Amino acid sequence: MSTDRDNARRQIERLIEALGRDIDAMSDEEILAEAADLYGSTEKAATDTLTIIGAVIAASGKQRLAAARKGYDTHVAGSRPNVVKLPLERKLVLIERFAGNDNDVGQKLTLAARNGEAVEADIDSFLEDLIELGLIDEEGNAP
Amino acid sequence: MEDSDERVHLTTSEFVAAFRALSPAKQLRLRMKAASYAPGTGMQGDDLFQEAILRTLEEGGGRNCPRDVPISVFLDNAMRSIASGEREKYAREAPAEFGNDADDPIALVPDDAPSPANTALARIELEQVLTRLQDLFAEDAQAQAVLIGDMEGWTAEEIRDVENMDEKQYATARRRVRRTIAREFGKGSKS
Repeated sequence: MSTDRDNARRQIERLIEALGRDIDAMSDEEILAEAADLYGSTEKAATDTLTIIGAVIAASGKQRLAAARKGYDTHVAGSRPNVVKLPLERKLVLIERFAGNDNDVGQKLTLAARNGEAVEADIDSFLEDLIELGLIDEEGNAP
Repeated sequence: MEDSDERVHLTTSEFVAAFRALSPAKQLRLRMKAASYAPGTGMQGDDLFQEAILRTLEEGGGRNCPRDVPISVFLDNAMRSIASGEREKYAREAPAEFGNDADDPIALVPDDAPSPANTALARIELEQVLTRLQDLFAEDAQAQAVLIGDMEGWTAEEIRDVENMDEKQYATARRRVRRTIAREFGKGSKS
């Protein structure tokens, strides 16, 4: 175990404890006067502090929003049928199987998919319609 | 936050409101303390100040302010705790080139063991901080006496005796040390 490292850390810890006690002993007026010296003016020091605090609160809010959004996305993903989790190729096979006459949405979707124009969200939506119609189950199999 | 927790700790919005309600002097006192706590952490004081608030606000951050504790006291303790933890971490980190070679015997040493490489680096890092601190007061004998005396845990009388300082000179020297350290270690990385 290095005594040098621990000694150095202890020295720094003792220093900051002493400095902390000094600051505790200062009156509010002394704090403001020293802040004016350190940060340019009392007003600038106070404004800068509020800016720092505001930035932290905003960052925290964004973190909470991101966490909530992630939780929501997980919930939504968890509530969708398993067929939407199939590889795209399997989904296209299902669509082609149920593509009907010329005006059928399925046929249009199949054509768009072949041309690389179909958005997977549209494909998933069509598959969920097939489930609702009872043409496939949630796994993509015939019921 | 669950109901039982809310009875014990401030909610996030209560904490934010209470913090905003602190007087400018109280907010600045915390910021100045952060500058004093920063040496050896690898962080600047304003970063430490922000980190303490952020960890209090974030979910699962593990730092919820109890209702019966003034938030200035809570944050002061939080900053000291974070600084101490960072100082510990900062002292233990080794550079990537140490211990990455599978043939290097150092690589076989468990992470939490005080390997020669880790020990050497830790000494260098903290020594750099100590060197910088001493350099700051190289031309100021009285301030240097305060710096070294504080680091060694001497009493005020012992420190004054080193440079034959009266109480006023001693107080002035202490102020110089505090302000110089605040200037050196205070401003945040984005300030």
